[in-house]
Amino acid sequence: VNAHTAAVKVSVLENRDLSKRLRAFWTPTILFLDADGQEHHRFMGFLPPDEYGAQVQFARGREAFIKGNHQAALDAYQTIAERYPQTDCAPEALYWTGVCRFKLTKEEPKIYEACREVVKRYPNHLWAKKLGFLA
Amino acid sequence: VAIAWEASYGAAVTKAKQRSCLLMVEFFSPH
Repeated sequence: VNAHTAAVKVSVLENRDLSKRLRAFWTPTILFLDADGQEHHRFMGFLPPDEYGAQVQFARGREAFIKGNHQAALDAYQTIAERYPQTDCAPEALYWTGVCRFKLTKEEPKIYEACREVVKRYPNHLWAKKLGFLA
Repeated sequence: VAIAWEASYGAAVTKAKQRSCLLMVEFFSPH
């Protein structure tokens, strides 16, 4: 985690203004901001280590993708797919690996390949339902 | 996942800017 983030715990009772500004209305809320204060990802609730680690990678991927660094985004999403394949965000991460590959190569089939993998590996997940028509 | 927490929000913001990395903020209730 610390290779990719600077992490801090903040008490909502002692930091009411910050909690309100960042819309942390329930605890625990974990959010990821870039150096400009732009939020890229958040989740709520207690998570086991693998799910937590996957969420950190997901935040990295989202920030990199939005900033146009598709190789870094691919690395992050690929890490989830390979290291945390059983986590809740793994199917979506797998989809985004295809989108990143498309961005890097301009080869549209890369997206469909990823969609098929999501449906194949995670047939009961919400993302399989989202992508079923593309697979 | 082992996490080294910064001492304060300000310290974490500074470190994130220095390293050009994400700032991860975990809001908690102290009870």
